[in-house]
Amino acid sequence: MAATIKIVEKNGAGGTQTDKTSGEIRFKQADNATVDNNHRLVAADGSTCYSVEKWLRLKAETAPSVDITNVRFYTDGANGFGTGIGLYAKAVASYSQPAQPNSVAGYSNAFTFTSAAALSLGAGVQLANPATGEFGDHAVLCMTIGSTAGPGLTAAETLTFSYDET
Amino acid sequence: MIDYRITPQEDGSVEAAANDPWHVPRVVVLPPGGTDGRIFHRRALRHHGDGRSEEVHWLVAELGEVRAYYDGENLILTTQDLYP
Repeated sequence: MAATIKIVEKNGAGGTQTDKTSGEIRFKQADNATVDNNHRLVAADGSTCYSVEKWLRLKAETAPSVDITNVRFYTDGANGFGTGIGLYAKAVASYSQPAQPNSVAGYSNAFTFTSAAALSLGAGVQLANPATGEFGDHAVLCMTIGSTAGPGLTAAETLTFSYDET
Repeated sequence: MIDYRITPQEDGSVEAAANDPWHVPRVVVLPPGGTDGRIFHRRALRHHGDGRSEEVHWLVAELGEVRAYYDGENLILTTQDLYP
């Protein structure tokens, strides 16, 4: 049988996991996985507001028959969030508590990662039978809000994690 | 979405058959080829911003530089490395 895979968001110093496979991922100025309107991203006076990072990773609840390789992350390639709103991404192997950066140095525009040019989260064997648990690198995301952004919740966007399983 | 069971055969080939008995099993057999041939699942978890998620499952048979991608309905033969 195929392994059962989830997307988890990790928060706090210890990397507490929250299952986000079927849950909203809310970018904010706080390190938590709660879907609410607190700690909003606000840009004023021509400045840019950076969200606290979102650390996302795949987790196997059941083991693959043999192994899982070639873990990737990508978007549809088109920023649908709206004017003044950006999303940046990078791959990180080891977890550290989500921070609120003051630049996007070290990140790439997440919408440059597409199915044809994805962000690699680990090419070789990332999880082998009978192991379960987290696997692959973390996809670390940061949202930016410029002063040209409109108020309110953004439109929804789609993020894809892919992997090969045998 | 069809779940496949991949089984190496004694002659060195690999066979993939649907786990669902109600689905007409589609079997792919590759001749012995060492590293030239393999079958694997290419899966994707697509997370939509509103909280919905979608699971995509392709069966991929690779022989040399040619790959066959099968999603349960469509079969694509190509040398490209495709992702859902």
